[in-house]
Amino acid sequence: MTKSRYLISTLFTAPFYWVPFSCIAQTTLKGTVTDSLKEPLSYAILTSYKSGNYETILAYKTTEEDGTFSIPFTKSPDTLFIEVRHISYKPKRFVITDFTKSHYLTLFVPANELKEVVVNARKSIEIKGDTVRYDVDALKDQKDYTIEEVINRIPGVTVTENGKILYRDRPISHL
Amino acid sequence: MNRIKTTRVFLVAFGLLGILFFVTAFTSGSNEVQQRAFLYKVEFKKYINRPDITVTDYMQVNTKGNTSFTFFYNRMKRDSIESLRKISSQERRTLFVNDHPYSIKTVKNKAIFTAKVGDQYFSYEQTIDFKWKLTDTKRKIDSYNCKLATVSYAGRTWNAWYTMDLPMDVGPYKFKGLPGCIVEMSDVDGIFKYTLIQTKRKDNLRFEHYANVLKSPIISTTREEFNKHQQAYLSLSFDQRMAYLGRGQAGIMTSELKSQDGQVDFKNKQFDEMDDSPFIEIDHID
Repeated sequence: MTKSRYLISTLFTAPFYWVPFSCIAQTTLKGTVTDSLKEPLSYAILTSYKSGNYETILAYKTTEEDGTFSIPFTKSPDTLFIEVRHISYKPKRFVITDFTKSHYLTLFVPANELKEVVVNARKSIEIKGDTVRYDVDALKDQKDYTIEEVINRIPGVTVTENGKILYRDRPISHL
Repeated sequence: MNRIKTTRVFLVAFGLLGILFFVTAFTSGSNEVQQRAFLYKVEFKKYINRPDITVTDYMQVNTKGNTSFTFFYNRMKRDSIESLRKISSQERRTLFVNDHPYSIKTVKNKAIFTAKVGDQYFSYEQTIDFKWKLTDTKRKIDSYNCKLATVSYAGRTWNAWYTMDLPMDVGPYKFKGLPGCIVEMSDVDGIFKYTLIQTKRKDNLRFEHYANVLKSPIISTTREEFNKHQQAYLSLSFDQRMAYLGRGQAGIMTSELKSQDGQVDFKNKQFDEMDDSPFIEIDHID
């Protein structure tokens, strides 16, 4: 009697012994994305692929503020091809086979972003009330021989062939 | 003597701890989150029955980490002026804004939608969770390698071309949640179209409304209520709108503003208002 009860109870509980095993079937890929100084990189996008041609996306995730991520998979893969992208870094690919440990994925090469160029221009024109002052030094070129060439470079002012100076096509009466 | 020594040791240790704290505090700021602005061209059919009339406007999305602020470029310019002084009719003419502008502030997957209906601001919160279907279809848009993803949202089906060349979770309207930035997006009926025209890294981007919006009373509502209310307002005739704007107190419109038989009075409508405006979200519209 007790023996049969024992048997029945084992029969009933037997399926539940498989619960922990079925839990293993759902794998989670965990880890942190960091830069070369081991500082966590937030808002990096991870995409995982089934095969090494990086075509069909299985799952994707953006890293948290502390650089961590966890991607659950319903079907346990043997090998995962991961691509990590970040706006400030060049994308990098990783192949992951071990799903038990937490991975540190490091991005080394910063994306080529053009450095800012500052152009320093000298102010050659100054307007004070009704007077416009031109800085001759700024308008002067090394190849200049005569003042005519410099005057010609002032916006709106031209020198005619007979030496008359015109401002907006009107002759200047006296200098 | 011994006591002085221990306090001194303690003080030195405390000072070192302070230095350590400051050093870590400064170095941890080295990975500063990039701020970036995205400009989308928005094209949509103005009326359902007049497919030849297309409205063009520009939408900007400011992003910083998991925070984004989406708004219409000219609407924001107007708000900027109106928070300081009265806007001139000349400025009003040059800063064209479409009929129903909105703005969306998103933090993680929580979005706050704000829009004006008539003279009243409304806002509602929504959890963003798009069920994107990724495909392997590829297309090159300008210099971006794009992939196609589709989603059904609020009664419409959308095709989105996103690029992983810009690995940021950004898109027009409320759309986001793809492994890259949306470059082109349109609904299958061809009523709405969004095209990314520029992206720029920028500091000191705006993530808040201007004072004129923040100061005005905002009624908090739900997505369903808002959509129904907006539809009701836009289906009014010119005269009915004037009557609504001249009402005593602010509040959500009820059917009493419609004509007596419950139908909208089409006789009073201008030719341009003959047709109904299309909506992005049509799941609450009957």
